[in-house]
Amino acid sequence: MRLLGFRRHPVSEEELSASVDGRLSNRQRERVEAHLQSCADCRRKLEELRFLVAELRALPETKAPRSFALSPEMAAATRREAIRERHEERTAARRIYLGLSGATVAAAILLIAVVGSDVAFFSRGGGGESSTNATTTFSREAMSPAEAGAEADGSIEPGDATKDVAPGVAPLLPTAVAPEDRLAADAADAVETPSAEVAAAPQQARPVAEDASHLWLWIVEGAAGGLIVGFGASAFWMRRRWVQMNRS
Amino acid sequence: MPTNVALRRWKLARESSSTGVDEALLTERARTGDLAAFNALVEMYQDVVYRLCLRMLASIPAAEDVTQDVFLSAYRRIDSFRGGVFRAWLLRIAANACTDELRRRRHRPQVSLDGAGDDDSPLHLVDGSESPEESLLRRELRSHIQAGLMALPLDQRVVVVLCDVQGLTYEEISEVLNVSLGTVKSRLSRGRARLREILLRQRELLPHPFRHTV
Repeated sequence: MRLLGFRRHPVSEEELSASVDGRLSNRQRERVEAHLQSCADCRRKLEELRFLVAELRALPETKAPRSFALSPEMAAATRREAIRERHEERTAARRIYLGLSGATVAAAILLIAVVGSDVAFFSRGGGGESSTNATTTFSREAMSPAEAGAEADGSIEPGDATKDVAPGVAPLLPTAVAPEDRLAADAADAVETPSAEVAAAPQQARPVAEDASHLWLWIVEGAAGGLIVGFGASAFWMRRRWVQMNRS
Repeated sequence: MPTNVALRRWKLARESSSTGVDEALLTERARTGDLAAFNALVEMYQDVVYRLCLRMLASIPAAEDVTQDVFLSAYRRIDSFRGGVFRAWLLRIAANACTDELRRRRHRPQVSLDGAGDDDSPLHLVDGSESPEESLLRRELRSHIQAGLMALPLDQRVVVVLCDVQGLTYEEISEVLNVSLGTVKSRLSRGRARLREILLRQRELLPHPFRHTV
C-alpha cells in the first residue's frame, strides 16, 4: 500500500493540497476528481489532509496576552537607537567611500607611472628609425665610445643639432669621456662609414627583446585601467548612497 | 468545521476591509512619527502578530518578546513602509523575526520549550469558546500537531502557519514572504504532507475513521 505513493501518480501531492483549498483550475479539478473515483489511496490521503487542515484551523485563536503598544519611553529609546544606527551606517559608508577614492587615486598613479615608463621605453626602442637628438645622447652612454663616435659621424645627419647637444652633454659626463669621444670620432673618421652599419645592427635587434617587456607593460596598464574603472565606479556609487543617507 | 473556517475568513475580511480607510490614515500619521497613530495600529494587529509568533516558536515568553520586538522594529522602520497592505508588511517583519529567533535558538539550544510539549499548556487549550470538559484526546492531538509544526523546516512551517492557522490566502502569503505563488503552493503541500505523516504516527489520537486504515 505504502509503495503506491512512490509510483508515478497522475495526481501530484501539490494538486491534492491545492484541492483542499479549492485552488485547482477547472481542468485540474476534473482530472483530480476522476482520479479519486478510482484511487482509494488518494481518497484516503485527501481525507487525512482535510482533517489535518481543519485541525490546524481549529487551534485556539489565542489573543495577545497584553498590549504591545509602545510607551513614549520605548519609542524615544528606539528612535535614539535608530538614529545611532543610521549614524554608524553613514560613517561606515563614508569610510568605504574615502577608501575607494584613495584606491582609485593609487591605481591612477600606478597607471601614470607605467605609461610614463612605457613611453620612455618605447622611444628608446624606436630610436633606430626616428631618433631625436635627445635619445641619441641616451644611447650613446650605453654604447662603446667607438660605436658612439661612429654614429655621431655616420648614421646621424651631421646637422648642427648634434654639435649643439654634444657640448651640452659633455659636462655631465666624466671629463675623461669627452676627449675619448673626440678621439673615437677621429678613429671613426679613419674607418669610414662601414662601421656605422655595424653599429646599427644591434639597435635593430633590440625592439624584438623589448616586445616581451612591452606585453607586460600592456598587461599592467590594462590592470591599472580596470582598477581605476572598478574602484572609481564603486566610489561613485558609495558616494551616492552616502549622499542619500544624509538626505534621509 | 467548515463553518469555523468560514467564520475565520469572514473575520479576516472584516478586519482588513472595514479598517482600510482608517489604516491608510493611521499609517500615514505613524510615518510622520505620531506614536498614538502607531499604537492604534499595534492594537489592531497585535493578535495576528502574536499568534504567528506563538505558532512559529511554540513558546509563550519567546512569542511575547518577539512580538514586542516586531513592533519596535516596525516603528523604527515605518519609513520603509510605502503603501500597500500594512498587515502583510508587519507579518513579513514578524516572520523574519521568528526565523532569526529560531536560528539564534539553534546556536544555543534551550532546555525546554516552555511547556510546549505539556498538554496543559495554554498553547493547546486556552480558548474562551472551548469548555473545560474538552476531551483529553483533543488536547493531546493539539499538542501533537504543535510538535509536528515544530518539526517542519522553517520555510514550510511559516507557510503552513500563515495559511492553515492564520487563514491567509496564497496571494497574501506570497506578498508576506515575497516569494512566488508557485513557491507558496509547493511549500504548503510539502509541509502538509510531512505534517500528515507525523500525525499518522500516532493514529490513536485520530478520530475513528482514520485509526484503522493502513
